[in-house]
Amino acid sequence: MIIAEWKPLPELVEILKGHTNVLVAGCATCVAECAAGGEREVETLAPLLKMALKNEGCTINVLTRTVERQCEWEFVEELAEMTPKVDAIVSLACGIGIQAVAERFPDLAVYPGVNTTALAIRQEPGLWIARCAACGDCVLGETFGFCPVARCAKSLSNGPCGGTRKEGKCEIDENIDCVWFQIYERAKARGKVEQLLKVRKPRNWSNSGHGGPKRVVREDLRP
Amino acid sequence: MMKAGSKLEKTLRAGHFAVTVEVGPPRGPNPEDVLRKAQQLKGVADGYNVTDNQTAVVRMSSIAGARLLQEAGCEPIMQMTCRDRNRIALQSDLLGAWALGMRNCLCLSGDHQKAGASGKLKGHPGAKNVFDVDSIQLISILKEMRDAGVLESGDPISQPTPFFIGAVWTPLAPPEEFRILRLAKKIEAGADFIQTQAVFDMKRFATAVASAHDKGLTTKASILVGIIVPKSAKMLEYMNANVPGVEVPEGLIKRMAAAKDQRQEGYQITVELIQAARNIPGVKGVHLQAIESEEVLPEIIRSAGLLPRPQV
Amino acid sequence: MVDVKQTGNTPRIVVVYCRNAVSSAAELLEGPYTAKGYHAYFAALPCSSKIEPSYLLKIIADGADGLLVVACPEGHCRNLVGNVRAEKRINYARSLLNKAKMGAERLTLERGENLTEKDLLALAQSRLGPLKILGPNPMKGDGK
Repeated sequence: MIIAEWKPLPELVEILKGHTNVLVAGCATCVAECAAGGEREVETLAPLLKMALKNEGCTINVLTRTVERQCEWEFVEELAEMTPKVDAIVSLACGIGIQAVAERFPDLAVYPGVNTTALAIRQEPGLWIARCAACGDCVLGETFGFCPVARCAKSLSNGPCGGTRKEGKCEIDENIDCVWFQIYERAKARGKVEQLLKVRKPRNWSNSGHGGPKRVVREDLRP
Repeated sequence: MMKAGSKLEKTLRAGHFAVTVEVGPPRGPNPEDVLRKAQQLKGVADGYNVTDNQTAVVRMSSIAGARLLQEAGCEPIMQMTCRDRNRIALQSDLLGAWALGMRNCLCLSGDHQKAGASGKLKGHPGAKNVFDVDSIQLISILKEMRDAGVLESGDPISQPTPFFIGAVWTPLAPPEEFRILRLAKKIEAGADFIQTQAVFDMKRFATAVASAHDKGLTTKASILVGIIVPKSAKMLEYMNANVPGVEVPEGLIKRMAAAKDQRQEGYQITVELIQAARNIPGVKGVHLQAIESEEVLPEIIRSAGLLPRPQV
Repeated sequence: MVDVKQTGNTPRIVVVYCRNAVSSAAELLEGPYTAKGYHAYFAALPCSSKIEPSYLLKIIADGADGLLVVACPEGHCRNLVGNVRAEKRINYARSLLNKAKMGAERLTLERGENLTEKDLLALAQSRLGPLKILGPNPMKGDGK
């Protein structure tokens, strides 16, 4: 899922100071999965914003609405019945959803209530770890199912670097596994270490963001 | 067959035990800061490594530092990391470096930019990193530019750029069994010389070198063992706990702690490490680092019986 | 939802308690109870883990000066770890209250078993001192 996290409360307070009626809009898909923007979080943030702004001398009225997905126009449309009552929307969806809302309601101030950060898996309750970098050139078949782009701090194709800590953790964060350590262990377990001896050539980064804003057309699906 | 004709290459080819030293460029633009170090270190080594924004701390570029060293009579080994520049910039800088007279290049992945924010420095932990290519791909790039006169794209350059290509080996970082295989990968990709992460346990290192020897690697590339001059027991403890791949034997830390003059003991330890290195078959030299105290190196190298450097 | 009536400046303390922490003989309290200069409101839950940060924050945003959650002692939860989950959620809500400059101390957790009405009232009363230090809830008078 796409994961996001609340923007720091002081930042949200600054943004909302000039407003009186605010809609906090949630999304029941990815951001609900990562406990940042689902109904539960919307209903937590709403009273919190009221209180935080009150302590700054501002009284705001907060409405709330959580839709199934903010990245689908039919669901974004559900917000239309509430927008006449507000002068701003704080969306807790990922950047895609926030922009869809902004595009649908161009006359309203639309603010991000979250920072969208990664494509991750919920490894355990309360623990999300980035797994995919949407690089456009997937090599998971060659790395025994471990992504060296998203899970290596240096995105090495021929890792590991010399920075692997004891117990196979990453140089930059002792809580993060060195993915190349994991790749090697998996290769060893499968008896396929020789696959890691081939020098991998430089990647082609152009099929994703580095090649320009991604645009995909499927003629068979066009109206 | 000579690859680049650098002093380091010639020294190794002639069978001499090579000495390289590390020079950190200044955190400022003053060329005098480089020239002063060059004056202190002239004649004590066969090659002078110039680091590339090491630990992601902004310093004078390694190309500029290398050029200044060269003009001062110290042949540089330009270090190049993959953190800050993409393949376009790296290849461009290699063309420029060669034009400016550089003939040795050490290829590294580079410390992540988070490392720059430590101690008193704020660093640039918020910078966007590049890592377009990794160190092994960079080695291949240099090899192709040298031996085939082409860029990574396959486009030709107007003439080849003969570099003596270096790589780093960290034999003791996990997973240990893979490190020797990765060394083999670097040599296959084109590495001519290897400088290792700092070693404090020469016996342990000797075992690793023996494995390299068994794989035929010690004849394909020249291994120079990295040695950091220890300043104190605290420094040794710190490195042992925090620097990946660096292992300091308990006995050495105790010895330092018990010494009356820890600095002096550090010089003595360094000399002993150098002597131990000379006795390991397959080790072709030492790479000495005295972080922010390069001035202590000439005396250490002299005490180790490695002066004067042979003329090649 | 506990309905905190908007009646002047008298401290309003809400007690949300786990049914299993209260003695079976105790009558389920609701309130408001007016006593010794404060109003107490009570709500029973089938398990302390039923609380959510949103629920707790709403009660305070609606004007409660203090909110006390009463849970079973550790190791005694009928739902095994419900009372542990409750504590984590309360700690989270407290940190949010701090961030909003409301004061984490408005929200507290007590553990007990076989509690009587008297016990619950006493617990509510024990909050008066700390809440006086915090001052009245700035959200008073802003009710729905």
